[in-house]
Amino acid sequence: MKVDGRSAALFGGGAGAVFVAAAVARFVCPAGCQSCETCVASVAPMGAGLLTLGGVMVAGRAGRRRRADDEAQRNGED
Amino acid sequence: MLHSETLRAPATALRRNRLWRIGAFFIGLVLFYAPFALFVRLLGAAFPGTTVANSVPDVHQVCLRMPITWIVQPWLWPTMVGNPAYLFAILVLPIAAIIAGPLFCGWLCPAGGLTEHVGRVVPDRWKWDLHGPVPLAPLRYGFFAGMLLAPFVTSNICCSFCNFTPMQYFMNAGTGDFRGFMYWSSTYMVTMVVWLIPLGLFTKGGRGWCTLLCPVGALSNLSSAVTGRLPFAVRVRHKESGCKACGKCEDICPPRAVTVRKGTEAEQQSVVVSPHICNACLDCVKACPTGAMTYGRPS
Repeated sequence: MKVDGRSAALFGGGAGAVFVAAAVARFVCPAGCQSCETCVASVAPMGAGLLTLGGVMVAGRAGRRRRADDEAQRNGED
Repeated sequence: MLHSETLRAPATALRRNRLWRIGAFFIGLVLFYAPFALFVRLLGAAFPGTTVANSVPDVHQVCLRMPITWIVQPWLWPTMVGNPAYLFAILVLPIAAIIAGPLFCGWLCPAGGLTEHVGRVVPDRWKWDLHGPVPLAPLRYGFFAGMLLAPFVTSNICCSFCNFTPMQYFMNAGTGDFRGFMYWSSTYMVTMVVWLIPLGLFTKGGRGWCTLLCPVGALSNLSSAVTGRLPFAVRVRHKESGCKACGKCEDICPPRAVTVRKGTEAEQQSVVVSPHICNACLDCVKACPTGAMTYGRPS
């Protein structure tokens, strides 16, 4: 698909923020146990990011289908 | 020649290509993963006294992720230079990608190959298709940039989200060594689940993790994409002449790199192979009924 610069920056920045958030979560964690590798909380940012990605994809697909339906309806009316 | 024969020939070629790639998948296992880890053993023999020679030979001794994050941390370069296995990730793979495209990803990588080849038994109607709804290249490079930036915030997170480690645990379990699973961390569990299920077996093409979250693939594709117009650069290319925009290449592309726009007129049709996503598996080249997809130098 053709991507304009704004969308690329938005998606790229959002994706990068997922990993940076994963790192920040360790830094700001109040537990301070330094057992990040075995801590469920340390994977939360990645899980949240991937869920967001899934949501965006599902929404994108639904939008594309709706636009196609609208276009087909318009063509039919014409 | 009958019409059915013209269609059957690419199908056979595609099947043969996939069989070759399954063979390459097993070669990748033998080269990089314990108990074989032949590549690690060879490096150890060639460079005695280095870390790779004094370690247990498994996939961790040719870590392909840490050296990539070290590229932006110059104070770690001496560590990298002192270990030939680390140079493999940041020199050999990108140079190979510059010359012939990211062949490692499409052919040799066992972690990517596992989800792709095993994923073929899952019906397509149960899978989601990465192609279309979101731009894949910005997402891929965004995750890559985040992984490179993370060490500057707190710590290196490339080990936490490494899918080569669960793959090694599977190999160890196959030889009766289940210790890896005893020390399995939550990050590895999340990585394994995401890599194998939503972004693996249930993604069309089976390459969701590779396309979005693998830093090795991102670096290889970046090297391949920016040098694609060099006269010696061998890449998957599309030529307009002969192409009927049938969509076969788009349908079978494992990493979802091909976009076909169909139209009634020739001017409305277009086929684009994204150099940022293509992993040079050559499935599209073999499946193309008209020979419009090629693997070669720029014309």
